[in-house]
Amino acid sequence: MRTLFLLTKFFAVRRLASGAGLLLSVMAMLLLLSGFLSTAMRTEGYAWAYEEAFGGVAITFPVQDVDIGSAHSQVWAATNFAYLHSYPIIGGALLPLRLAAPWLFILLPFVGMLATACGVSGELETGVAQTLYGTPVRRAVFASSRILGDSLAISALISLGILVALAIGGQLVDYEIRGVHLARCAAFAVVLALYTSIFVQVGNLISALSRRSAQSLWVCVIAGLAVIGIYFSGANLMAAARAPCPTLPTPPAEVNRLLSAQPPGMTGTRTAEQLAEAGGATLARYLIQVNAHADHVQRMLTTDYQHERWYGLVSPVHAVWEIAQQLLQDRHGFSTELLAPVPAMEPPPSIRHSLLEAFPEIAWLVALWIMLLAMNIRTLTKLEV
Amino acid sequence: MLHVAVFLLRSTLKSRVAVVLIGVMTVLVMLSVGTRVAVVQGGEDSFRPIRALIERADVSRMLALGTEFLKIPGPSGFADQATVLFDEEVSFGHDVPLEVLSGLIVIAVPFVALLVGASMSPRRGSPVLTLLSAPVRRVSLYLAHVIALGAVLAILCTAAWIGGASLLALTVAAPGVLIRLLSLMLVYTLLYAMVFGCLGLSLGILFRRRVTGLMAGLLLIMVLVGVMPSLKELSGRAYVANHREAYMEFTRGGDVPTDLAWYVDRGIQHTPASAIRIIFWITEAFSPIPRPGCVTCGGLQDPGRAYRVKTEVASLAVAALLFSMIGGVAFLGKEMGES
Repeated sequence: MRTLFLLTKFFAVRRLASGAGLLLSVMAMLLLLSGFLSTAMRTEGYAWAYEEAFGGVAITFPVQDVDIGSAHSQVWAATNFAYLHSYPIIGGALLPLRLAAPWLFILLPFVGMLATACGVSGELETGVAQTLYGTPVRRAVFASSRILGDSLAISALISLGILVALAIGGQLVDYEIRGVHLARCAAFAVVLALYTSIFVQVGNLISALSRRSAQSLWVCVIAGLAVIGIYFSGANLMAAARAPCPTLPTPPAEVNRLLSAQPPGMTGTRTAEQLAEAGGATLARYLIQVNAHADHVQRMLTTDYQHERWYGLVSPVHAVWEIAQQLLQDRHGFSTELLAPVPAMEPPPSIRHSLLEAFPEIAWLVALWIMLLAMNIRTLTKLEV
Repeated sequence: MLHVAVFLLRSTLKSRVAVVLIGVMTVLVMLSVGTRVAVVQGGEDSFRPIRALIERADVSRMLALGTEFLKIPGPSGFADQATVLFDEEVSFGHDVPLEVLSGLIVIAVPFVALLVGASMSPRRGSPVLTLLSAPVRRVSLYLAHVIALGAVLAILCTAAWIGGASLLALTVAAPGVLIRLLSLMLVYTLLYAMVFGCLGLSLGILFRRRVTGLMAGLLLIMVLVGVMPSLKELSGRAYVANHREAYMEFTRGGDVPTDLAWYVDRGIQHTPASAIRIIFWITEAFSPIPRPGCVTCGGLQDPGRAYRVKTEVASLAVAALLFSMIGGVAFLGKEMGES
């Protein structure tokens, strides 16, 4: 055990002290800062558009042009919009992290694989492997400590980058970042670390199997492209598999007349009583139809969303996306409730609650990590030096 | 020099993984475009729960406000220029998901090009040590690496093109226009790939440890592809807000502003990812429908000036040249045999 600890420390310190490690931290920091920048850009852009279009009155929820997509992508976009259009802005640091997250899902697999792609193969090429593997340490211990050390170091570097970005970003924005938001960010950083360390292991495995750094790099590119392909195509496939969405019932002529009528001076809104008085039984029937339609769509959305979670388990990208859906929102017990529309939970859901909602995906990532660790140990144990 | 380039190209393409990568590029684009075609051809009946739920919200709100029952478009012009596409239904008969191809290129090509560039950079382990002993000038040797890199990237981009074009062409009645459009996109994609390929080549020479060079490359990709497009939006809006008259004059075909803020803004507007997005947007606008004009920065532009891609193409070429020169200078400065 002592050997495992010492070797893990050695590999972790080696990774932490490397120039690549520093660059990784800077990258994580810049990624989150780009999320802050994107938040500022979008809120300013929408404010400008509202001002130009409606004289400063924000009267629409502009997601009508949201692209056709899977239930997951629709819920993700809707939550982003709901946060972006809140005033004062809710969610604190969660919104910048939401906007940067799709980038993280793509970039971190490359980071993880490239960090270790030349590790074992480089040692074999330079002859260092003969010294390393000639030491009187069991190969299994050696392999475990290498993976643990690299994973711990990369997790620490990503967390450090996110922490620094939160500290800088928090000073630049004028909305409140509360402790609970920081705690959610920290939980998500841990998940990202787990996600990256899966690819650290993949890179290590590729490096050991290919035995040549140049070849290992090419294979890592292929693996990275596969990740991007799954990310792009997975959502499309899930969207294509969905049933057609029922259309909203057409309003009767009487209701159309009521809709077109301008209340005197356009001041204030009409109460339910005033509406009922103006619209009569036809309007009441129509509103029942509209509500039934919305309930039907909501049920359909929730069912499809849950189905997609099962399909999504084939790839770590979709698993981490689902965890992000639950962790990076602090308004509802489950992310689809935003579209129910169910009012925000009071008090807000706890981190534990959100983590429990995403438990299958977290368990799957942990299982994948353990499986890859076993494969790495087996490969490195049988490695010919 | 050409002999060396051919030698490098052959030694790269002889590798099995390179062939697999070319195949993966084709399949990746084919899969992404194909699945998207399946989605968009569902059209209005496709699964769009958000739209359905918001329609319901609109009815309730509009009843309360007494507003006309109309769809109010969102400010999509601020999302991204590349997402503002022309009406494909008029040009091709139905919606063609060109935006998937553009999006995939903007995101995936930098990674592939960087890694290909890094793996082909003249360093220990590559054929460079053999070549250094040959009677070839070092400048020619370096240029041969750049040419070979260009050839490999061209093959990869063509593979991606075949994957995308073959599927898309099958879905339209008159594929001629589409093929012409996609061919134009291929040329620009190659230029975009060269920017990041040369970056990888240079970083491979500059850094002794390959992993450090690759991390630096990923960092630069993140800045150039992830951060700069956001900054572009802010910068453009700030410039128009502060120099509205000069900007409007420029968009009407008048004098080009000469103040420092203009040059800074132009620099930010023309970073590689922003440039390629604008190029794609304008190229995709190759359509019989007159476009209302450029919506970036909030100013309407006259089509004559707004639809030229010269400056964007020039900025990509300059970026590729700059990155290759950095590597060239570093390579010439290194001792023979030094990695």
